Amino acid sequence: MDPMRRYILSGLSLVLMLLALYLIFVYVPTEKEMGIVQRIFYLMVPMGWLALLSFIVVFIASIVFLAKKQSGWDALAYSSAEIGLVATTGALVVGSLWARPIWGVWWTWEPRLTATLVLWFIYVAYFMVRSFAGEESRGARFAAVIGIVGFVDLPIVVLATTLWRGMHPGGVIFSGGLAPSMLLTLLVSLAAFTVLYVVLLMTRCSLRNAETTIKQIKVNT
Amino acid sequence: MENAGYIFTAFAVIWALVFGYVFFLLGRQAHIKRQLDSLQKGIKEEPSPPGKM
Amino acid sequence: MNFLRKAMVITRKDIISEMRTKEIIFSALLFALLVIITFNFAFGGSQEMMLLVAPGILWVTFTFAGILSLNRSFIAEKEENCLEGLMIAPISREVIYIGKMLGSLLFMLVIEIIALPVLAFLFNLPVLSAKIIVVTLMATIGFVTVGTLFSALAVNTKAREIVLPILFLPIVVPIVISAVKASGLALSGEPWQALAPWLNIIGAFDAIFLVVSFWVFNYIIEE
Repeated sequence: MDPMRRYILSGLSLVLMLLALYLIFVYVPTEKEMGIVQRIFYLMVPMGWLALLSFIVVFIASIVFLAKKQSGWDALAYSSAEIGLVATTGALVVGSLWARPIWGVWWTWEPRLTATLVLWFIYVAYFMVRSFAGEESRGARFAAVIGIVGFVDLPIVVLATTLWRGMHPGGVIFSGGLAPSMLLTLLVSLAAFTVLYVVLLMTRCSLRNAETTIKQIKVNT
Repeated sequence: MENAGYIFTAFAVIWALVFGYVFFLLGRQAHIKRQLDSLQKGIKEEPSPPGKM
Repeated sequence: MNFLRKAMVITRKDIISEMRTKEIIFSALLFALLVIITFNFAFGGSQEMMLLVAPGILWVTFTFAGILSLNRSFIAEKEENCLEGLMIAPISREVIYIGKMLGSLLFMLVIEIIALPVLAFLFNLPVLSAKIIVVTLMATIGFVTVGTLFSALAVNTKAREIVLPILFLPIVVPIVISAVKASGLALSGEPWQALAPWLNIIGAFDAIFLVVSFWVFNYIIEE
């Protein structure tokens, strides 16, 4: 993970973020039904997306880790889970801030929010299992199991909650569909946050690898 | 501009989370540096390390 | 069927051991009954209210009683160091998983078979219908597939009693939702087609997690 690549990616993320900011606040027209609050949408979708993307990475890294037993993969899973937890927390908070002006309630048990909440608990379980496991290697294995089981569970949770509550009452699907300007703004925002995710992931991953290496050295001396 | 407060709070929270996480990472990095320093000192203080590691 | 027979040996061991102390069944059953009675005081009221609340009460009870009984599943193994013995035995790890799982399934079913009539009696509701029994059976299978896996995991951690619920509850959310909905529909006298989507979800959960837990169990108990 050479520093040059990281600088470039960070720079790219900054550029994309600024572009997204401009698009969100200056370029895109105000949605007629919801007013300006609708612009939170361009923040919420990326948060939800990051929460999911992180978990996908955790899932794949966990599988490879269990198969190959190389700590680098565990570091990847750990780092992605950490960022994922932050992203999921963000998704829940932004989701509430969106729900309040639109639907009048801070929280609702609609499919997407509920599934996000469950995901949040799965992330917490991931870390809890690690710290309660007694020793590092066992903790890593247990966490990998949580990563796999949790990921497989997620679609079933979405299915069950969707059947349970039905879709948003008119919420996210706008009355006029998604105008091209909105689509552009959304895509840029998604790209900006995805690149940010990659930067943070790379950074955290190399830090984590350093931490485990140091721990190993200390154990060996 | 009725609901501007909500948009502001949403963005503020996200910024707080991102910067909070960055500070957290900086903290981990400082921690690693401290550990490396102490390891280095440990190696220097060994006049002749007992064989290979 | 050799595999199944080996697994049944473990199940038999668990059953025999449980028959001696009756520890799991008594404690979980007592807990279930107390929870049901407490809910009756919490929600006690009209018959319409009972009809609304009963499915939820039923499944909260079964979920928490299930956690109690699943917690016990591997604690004995750990404390008496039986787990090492099991692992040295010439059986694959998966056999241990299925054996323990079937044991837990049996215990939970016994508890449920006793709790259901009590619920019917206290709440005046037709809880003993075929539909409810099917829902209960399918949901319990789902509970024990992941429950056995997590129990084996929890027993190897420092805070075993708290770890199992924290792992278990988020994962079985789909089962709880579906079981409550399906039970509610059954109590209201709806036909099987109405229950079908919910039963499908539970069934899918059972199948998927049976396979996944089966694969992953090995990584939990290897040393």
